[in-house]
Amino acid sequence: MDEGLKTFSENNNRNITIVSKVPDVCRKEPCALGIDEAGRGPVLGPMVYGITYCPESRVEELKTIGCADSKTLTEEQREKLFQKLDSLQEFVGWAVEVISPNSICNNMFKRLKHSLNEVSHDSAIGLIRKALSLEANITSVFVDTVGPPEKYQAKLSALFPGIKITVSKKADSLFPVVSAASICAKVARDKALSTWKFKESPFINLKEENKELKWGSGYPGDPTTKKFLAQNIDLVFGFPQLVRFSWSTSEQILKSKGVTVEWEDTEEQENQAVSLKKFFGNSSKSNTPRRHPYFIDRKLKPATKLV
Amino acid sequence: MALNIQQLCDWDSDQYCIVHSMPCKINHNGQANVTGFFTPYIENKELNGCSGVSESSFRGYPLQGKKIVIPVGFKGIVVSETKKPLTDVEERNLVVSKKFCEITYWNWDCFPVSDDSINQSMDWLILSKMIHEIE
Amino acid sequence: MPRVTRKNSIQENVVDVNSSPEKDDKSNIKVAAISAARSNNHPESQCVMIVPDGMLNGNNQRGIVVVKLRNPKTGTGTLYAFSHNNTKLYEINQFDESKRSWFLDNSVQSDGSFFLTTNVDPLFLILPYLQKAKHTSPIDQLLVDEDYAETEKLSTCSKKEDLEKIADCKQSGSFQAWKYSEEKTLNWLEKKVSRISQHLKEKNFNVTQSAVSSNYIKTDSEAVPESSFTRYAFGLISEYLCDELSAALEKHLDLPAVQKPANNQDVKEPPAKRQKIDGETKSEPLEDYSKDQKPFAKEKIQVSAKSKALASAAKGSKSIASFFGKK
Repeated sequence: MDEGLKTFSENNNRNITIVSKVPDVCRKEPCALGIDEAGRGPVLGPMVYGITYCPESRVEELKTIGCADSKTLTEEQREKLFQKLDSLQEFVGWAVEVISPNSICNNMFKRLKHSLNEVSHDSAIGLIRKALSLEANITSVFVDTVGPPEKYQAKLSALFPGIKITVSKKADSLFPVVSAASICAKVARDKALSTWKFKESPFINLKEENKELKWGSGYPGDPTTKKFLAQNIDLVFGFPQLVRFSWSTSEQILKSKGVTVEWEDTEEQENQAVSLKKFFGNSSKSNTPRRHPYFIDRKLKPATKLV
Repeated sequence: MALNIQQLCDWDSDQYCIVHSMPCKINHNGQANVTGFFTPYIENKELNGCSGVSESSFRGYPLQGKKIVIPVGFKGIVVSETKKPLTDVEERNLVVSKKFCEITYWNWDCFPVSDDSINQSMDWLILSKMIHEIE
Repeated sequence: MPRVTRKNSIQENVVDVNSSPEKDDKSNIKVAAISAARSNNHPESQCVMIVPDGMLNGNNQRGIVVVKLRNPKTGTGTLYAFSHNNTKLYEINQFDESKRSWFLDNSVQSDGSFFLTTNVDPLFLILPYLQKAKHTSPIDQLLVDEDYAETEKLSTCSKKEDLEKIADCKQSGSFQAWKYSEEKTLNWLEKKVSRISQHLKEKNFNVTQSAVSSNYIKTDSEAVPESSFTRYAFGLISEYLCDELSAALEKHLDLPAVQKPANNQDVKEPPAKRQKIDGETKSEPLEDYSKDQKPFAKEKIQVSAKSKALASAAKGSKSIASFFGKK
């Protein structure tokens, strides 16, 4: 995992998927696969999706090594558990997708917005596909829900016929294979965040011990996180790409302190369509002669004011 | 009220201004740390077999960009006025403060194509010669 | 000769301060500019332009003068530029897309428009004044406009042999007087139309689509009738002519009649639809974008915009007098 995360830190505006070896036994025996996420809520850092799979017959063994709800574990405990999981190579496989904060905003700020739920679903689906493509014999999938469980269940069942899908709330604490996935995801997120390499020049030379670079948990309610956002704002560019611009916390700070930036909106496009309609109709009422389509296509008009 | 434009900077200088046309209205005139925040994340992509397309982000918005080279026989300039006159009737004096030979234009979540208005507008430089060249 | 080197964070400029300024006020401009660069202040206002290479020449310290002149088509004031000795005339078109801004080195300019400065044949601007004249007159007496004082500068932009393309000259000694000739003018315009249409054909320029569907579908120029290029070229030339002259030129060119749409409704609908499709397909730039082009092909708009332009031009013809009438 460390190597994969190093690659991510060099290119932290893009997502990366890190996979373990597929244990031989997982190619033969029917396997259960758990999916969970870490870092969905924070205003900064990546969101990580993780999967863990093992033969259905050995699921309980995960419990015995201590896979429980990752939120009840300390960072140290999680790290140890991950090492343990990773060492069970003969029957446990895992994979994580580190979704960069930039890719989250890019999706949420598309012309047709792609919601965080959709990003989450895409990642989970991608990871299942990844396991299947590596010839893991996945027969059942357990996943913590994102959005309404029934809908998500139906979506996944349709995509993966022949695999038994269980979407439930708190899957993390109910199914050890999900707990294990949650640990993988959480460990990856913590590491990705602690080894974050800023590409923005004002941040490159700031040392870790620098107060300004303490961002806390990243949760919008955390005062350290709030302070970090308020102190590291650039009037034009806003924040470094560590920060998710599409979160209301960062949006609001930027709105009140930064320069306003306006983007084309879809409503405007509708209006444009209307005006074009008019333009093709009877335009004799208008006083200004219409320019040749050549110029209209090119958005060229005779200048009347230079500066 | 006439407006004079003079050239001040040394044209033999090879200092070219780096020009990005951004697909949004930024309500600000002044300094901005473009090289610190924007430039490091520009990536060149091969998309759909088309090279020369770049990707970047501004305030989290996904951008795709392409370079426009100013046609031969023309050049790009930035003209500035240090002080605006107080009245409308005064003669105004502007100077050429920067020059450039290419523009990177960015679209918001739109693959740049040759039909983009900004790209097409460049052919006016050539076509206008056909209309106005004096035999 | 002392040279002052000024530096700011972005670029270094070397300015020759003592290079015999023509006028005092011009050297003042320089000093002001230097101090601005030194203090690293953002200029109060600035704009982005694309200009012909030879328009501004650094060595002779002479610039251009941007003024408002009467636009020959619209009759309203638009920007033109004179070369330093008033021998060349340029027109200025502004590219303006509503939501755009510039990054210029390490600065932002909110106004994302730019100005395309290109040579313009001064005869186009002289024509309306010639046409309006009641008597045969010297050119400098013709080029008088109360609203646009700089109109007189046009007199040095065109040589005698140029003026002869649109007017008859009566000469006695060094005295030259001019009288508008429609016949000459139409021949002069016809030549331009033929040169433009030739160029469009060579460039395989799409002249069959309307403004909305733009030049998306590249057509085979072999399949496009010659007259389509001529009509497009005529449309471009008409951007510099008053309605009457444009109508006269159309007649002179003897272009095939424009097909009018059978049902007006058909003309109105497609653009709106296409605009919507446009928005949807463009939202997924990373998908196979060759798909994007398909919807447009289906939406091919049958009626050329030029035909509509002409139809509307024919309806609301404005008299030349309306351009020049006193307000």
